[in-house]
Amino acid sequence: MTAQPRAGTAIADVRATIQAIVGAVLERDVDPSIDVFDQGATSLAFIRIVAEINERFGVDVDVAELEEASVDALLALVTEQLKSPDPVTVRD
Amino acid sequence: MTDTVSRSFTPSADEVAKFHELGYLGPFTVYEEDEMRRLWKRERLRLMDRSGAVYDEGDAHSGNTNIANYDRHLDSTFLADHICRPEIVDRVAAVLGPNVLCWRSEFFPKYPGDEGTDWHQADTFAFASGKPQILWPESEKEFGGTITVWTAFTEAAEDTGCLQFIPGTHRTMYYDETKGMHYQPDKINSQEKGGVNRGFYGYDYRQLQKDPDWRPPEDRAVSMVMRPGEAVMFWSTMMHASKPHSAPGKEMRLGFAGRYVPTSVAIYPDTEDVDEYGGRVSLQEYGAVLVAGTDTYGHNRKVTTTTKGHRFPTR
Repeated sequence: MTAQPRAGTAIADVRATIQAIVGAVLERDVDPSIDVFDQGATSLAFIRIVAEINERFGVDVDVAELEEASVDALLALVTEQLKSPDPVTVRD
Repeated sequence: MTDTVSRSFTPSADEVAKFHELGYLGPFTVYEEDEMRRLWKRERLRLMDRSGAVYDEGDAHSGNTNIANYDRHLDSTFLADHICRPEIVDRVAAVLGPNVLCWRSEFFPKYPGDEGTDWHQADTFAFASGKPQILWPESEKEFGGTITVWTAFTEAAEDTGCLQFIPGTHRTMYYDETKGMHYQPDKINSQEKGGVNRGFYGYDYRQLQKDPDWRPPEDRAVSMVMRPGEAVMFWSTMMHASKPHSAPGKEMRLGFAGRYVPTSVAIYPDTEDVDEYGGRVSLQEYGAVLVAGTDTYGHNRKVTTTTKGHRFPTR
């Protein structure tokens, strides 16, 4: 299914999805406020995480815009792109 | 001119004399620990953008080494400024003289469970590539090797793979870099040497020993324990190694090494590519960086800006 995200929805869903992706790639539960590199991620794992987030939400996360690699920082960037005037699509 | 620009980190005559005696100087502070942690958190993300990197990843990766990660100072603004930091360059110039090139930079990551690094010495750096990578002029034959400044981007502790040095061993080469080593990546993380899990990125450095029965005098070894942001400067010809990362719960250890020579040294003479550790990169976009003084020799192709246009701040 492809759908436009509704404004204001889904922040909790987006967070849960990002956290699930990170958890699946790292094969462990992660603290969303802590940089994933401090929770066992390698550069290759992080590249996989970003690729999967881009694919799932139809966004184009530029890691150079992140100040740190936490779930919360990824959520902020994804949310910003989902709200942009040139909307992206969510793919399930 | 601001204090930051004019401040000198030139070591005292006693410190330079100590360096000549021991083969190393430090550890010393390049960044405060908080600053290093903050910078690295951001820069490790920036470095994922390889669009300006001078080496293709195509054939560069093998075993636990990716030589396409050499020389990221040629595209990363942070690393470009790092290799030119006065805290580093002033100390290097105190030993090499006023005219200094940075010819190589490398990351040295160690993850929990990774083996330590074999005891080794490097003079021409031909040990893996088969061809000399740096050649000192005939008139300065008593010298050789490079000065390496190894900065701890993360903590380097006894149990996370800190460097080890054997002081005073930099004037005698116990290894012959022209002997050649067999590349055996399947041996990575699987060999015990003197009771320690060590290797050399798929090679066994003992194969280069001039005397196969010789053993490094490990009883004289000292550990270079460093907080994030600290660095140590040493001759590559001094016996050095690193411990394994044996602490599963601790962060990975990351060292970043800048390598320096005077402008009189020829870098990659008659060489078009670097072929080592099972990988190969082309030197087509390579250039050395003048970090201090002037270059009247003109032996080497140089670059004055990164591939992204950031100017190297020469001292």
